[in-house]
Amino acid sequence: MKVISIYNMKGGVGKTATAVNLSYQAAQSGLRTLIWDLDPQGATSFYFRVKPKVKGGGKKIVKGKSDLDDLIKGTDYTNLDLLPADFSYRDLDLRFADEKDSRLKKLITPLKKEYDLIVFDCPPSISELSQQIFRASDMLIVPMLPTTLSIRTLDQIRLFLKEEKIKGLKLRTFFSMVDRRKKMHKDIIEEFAAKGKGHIEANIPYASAVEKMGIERAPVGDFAPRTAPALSYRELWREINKELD
Amino acid sequence: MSRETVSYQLADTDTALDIAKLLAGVGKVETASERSFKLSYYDTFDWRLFDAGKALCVSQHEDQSDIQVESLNADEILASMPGRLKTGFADDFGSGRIRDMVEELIDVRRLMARLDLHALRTAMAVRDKEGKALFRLNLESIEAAKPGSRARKALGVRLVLEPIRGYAKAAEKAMALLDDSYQRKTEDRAPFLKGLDLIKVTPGDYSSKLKLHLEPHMTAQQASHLVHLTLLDTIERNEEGTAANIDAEFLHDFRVAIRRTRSALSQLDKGVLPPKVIAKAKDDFKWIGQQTNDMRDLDVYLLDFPKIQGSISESYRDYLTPFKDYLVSKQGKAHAQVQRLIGSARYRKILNDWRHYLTEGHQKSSRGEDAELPVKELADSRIWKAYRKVMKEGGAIDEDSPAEMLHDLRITCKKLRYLLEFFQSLYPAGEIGKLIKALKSFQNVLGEFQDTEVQSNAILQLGRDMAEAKKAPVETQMAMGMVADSILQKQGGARRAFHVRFDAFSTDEVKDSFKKLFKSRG
Repeated sequence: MKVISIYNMKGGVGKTATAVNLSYQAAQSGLRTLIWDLDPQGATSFYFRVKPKVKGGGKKIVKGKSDLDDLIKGTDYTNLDLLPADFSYRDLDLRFADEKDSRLKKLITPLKKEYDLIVFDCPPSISELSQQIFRASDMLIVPMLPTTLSIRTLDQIRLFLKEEKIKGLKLRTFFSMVDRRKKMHKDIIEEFAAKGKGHIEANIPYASAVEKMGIERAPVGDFAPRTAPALSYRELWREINKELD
Repeated sequence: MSRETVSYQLADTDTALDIAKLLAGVGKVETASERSFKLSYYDTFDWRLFDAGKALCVSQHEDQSDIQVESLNADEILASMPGRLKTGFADDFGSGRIRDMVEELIDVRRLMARLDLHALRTAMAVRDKEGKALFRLNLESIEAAKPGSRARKALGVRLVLEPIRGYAKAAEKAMALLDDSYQRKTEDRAPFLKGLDLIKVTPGDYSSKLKLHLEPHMTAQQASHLVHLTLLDTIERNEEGTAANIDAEFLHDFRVAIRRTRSALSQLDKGVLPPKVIAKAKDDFKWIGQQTNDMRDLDVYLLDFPKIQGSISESYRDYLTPFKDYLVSKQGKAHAQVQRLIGSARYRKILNDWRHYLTEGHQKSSRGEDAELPVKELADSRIWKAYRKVMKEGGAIDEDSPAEMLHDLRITCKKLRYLLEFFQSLYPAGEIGKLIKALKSFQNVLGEFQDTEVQSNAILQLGRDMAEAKKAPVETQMAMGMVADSILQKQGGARRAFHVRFDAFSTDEVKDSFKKLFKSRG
C-alpha cells in the first residue's frame, strides 16, 4: 500500500480538485483507492456527494476508539472509497498533539490489506496534523500556482520537513490552474522546470471543466473525460504512479 | 472493498420499469439506457484459473475494454483494470493487482479464449437526495457462445444488486422489497460456469498431472493398457497446441507423456506385453521423442532467457540480444520440424496402430507370462526393484565419482518416479504422496547437476554455430562465455547438495515406508 498526501499550506491552489481527480484516475487504473478528506471544510466529501459527517468525530478516531473500516463510504466509482470529512476535524491538531508522532501512520496500518493506495486531502495549514500526515506518507504532492509567492511556500515546506526531521518522504511539485495565455505563467513554469528538483512536468490548465466539478459533483474524468484537464490529471497520475514504484 | 452481491431470477418479460416502480420508495431510481457488452472469458489449456476458483474476462462495450478477474464461488469481481489481452501471457497485465493474482497461477502458460458471453445490461442506481448512489442494480439478459461463434444460447435474465459500502440500510430495504416479488438465487453459479455448460465445455477437462485410477483386482495387462491409453490421450490432446505453438507447455506435456510411455514400456510392460510389441513401440516412441528434442531445448533457453541475462553483469547483458534473436530463429525452425512430425503419416500411423493394439488388437496377439498377475503384485515388485537400484547406485557415489554415475542415477530415479506415479492409486494417498515428494526433491538436485553440464556445453556449441553463421559479434561471444561459466559455477553447488539430499532420502523413515508399502511378504 502506498500513501500520498496532497498538500499545500496555502489555500486556493487546486488542492482538493487534485485529490479528487488523482484518486479517481488511480481507481480507474485498477488500484483499490481510499481518499481521506481531512479538511474540516469537507469539499472532497461534497464532490463525492457524501455527507461530511463521521460517527464519533475526530476524537474517537485519534483515540483509536472508532474502527476506520466502519466509517468508510463507497463512492459512485469502482475501486474508490472515501473516508468523509467531519466538522470536528478542526480540532485534529489538538487531538494529535497528545499522541505519538506516528499515531496517524498506525491508524491506517490495518487498511493495508484492503487498499493499494491511500490519498490524504490535507487542510491548508502547517501544524501538528501536517507532520503526522507527512510521517504517514510515502509522497507529498504539492500543487502550486505559477506565481512567485506560491513557489516561495515550497521553501517553507522544505524547511518544515527539515526541522521536524522527516525523512524518506518524496516531495513532488506540479503547477495547477495554469493559464497558457499569461506570459508570466509561461515564464515561471519554464524557469522552475529547469531547476526544480522533484518537479513533475504535467501541468493542470485553468479550465471551466474544473470549476464545473462543484455543479456536477464528480471528478472531471467522469463528466468531461475528453477535456484538457481530464487528460492532464490522467497524465499527472501516470507520472506520480511511476515514481511511487 | 468487495461487496457481496445478491441476484434474482427474472422472467424474460420483466423490465427495468417494473424494478424502478418497485423501489421508488427507497430513493431516486436512475435508469441508464441499455448497453450491450461482450464478455470474453479466458483460461489456460489446463484451467489453472478455474482450478483456483477464478475466471478472467475482457469486458467490451463500444471502444471501452476492461480486464476483470472474477471469483467463481461468490460471483463477484475481484479486480479490474482498463485494457485488453495482447498475447495472453502474464506480461499483458503490466504491474498491479491483476498481474499479482494471475501470474503465479498461469506462470508460462498462455490464456486461451474459452467462452463468449453477450450481455444486454441496463444499469440502474438508486440515489439519495444529494444524488449519491446508495446501491446499484444491473438488469442483465445473457447469451453464451463459443469464442468467435455466432450461434448463441440464452442463459436467462437476472437482476444483480450491488450494495455500496457504508449504505447497507438502503440495500437491505431494497432486498426486502425484491424478495417479495422475485426469486432470490441462493446458489447462483457464476454466468461463466453456466455458459460453459451451455456450449458443452467441461472446465478442468485437462490436467498435466497423471490422473489414473487403477483397481487392485485388475490384471497387469489391463493396467498396462489403461496406463498407455491415458498417456496416448495426453499425447493427442497436446498435438494441436504444440503445432500452433500456443505456449511451451503443450510440447512439454506432450514429451512427458512420450517419456512416460517409454518408461512404462521398459518398467511395467516387461513380461506383460509380448516382447515384439514392446520392442516396436519403444523404437516408435523414441523416434517421436527425438524429433522434439531441439524445440524443447530452445523453448527452455527462451523461457529462461531473463535468468540467463541476469546471470551476468548488467553492463554485458545487452550483448546477448543477438543470442536471443538466434534462439528465436532456431526455435522457429525446430517448431517447423515438430509441425512436420505431427502432420506426418508415419507419426499418425504409430499412434493409430498403438491405440488399435491397446483397445482390441491385443486380443489376437500373445501375452507375456505376467499378464494375468494382479496389478498390485506387479506394482509392488517393480517399485521395490527400482527403489533398491536407486539406493545401490546412490550409495556408491562419493566425492570423487565421475559425473556419469550421477547421470545414471538420475535416470534410475526417473524410472522409479514414473512407476510410483503410474501405480499411485493402488496405495494410500498420503503415504505414497510423501515418498513421491521425497524423491522429487532429491531428483531436483540431480536434474540441476545434469542441466548445468548440458546447458553450458550447449551454449558453447550455440556460440560456435553463431560464429560460423556470422551472427555473433565478439562482444556477444564473450557475454555467452560468461553465461556458460556462471552455469558451470552452479554445478559444484549441486554436487555438494547431492549428498545432503541423498542422506535425506536414505533415512530409516523413508526406507521403512518403502518396505512397508512395496516389499512383498512372501
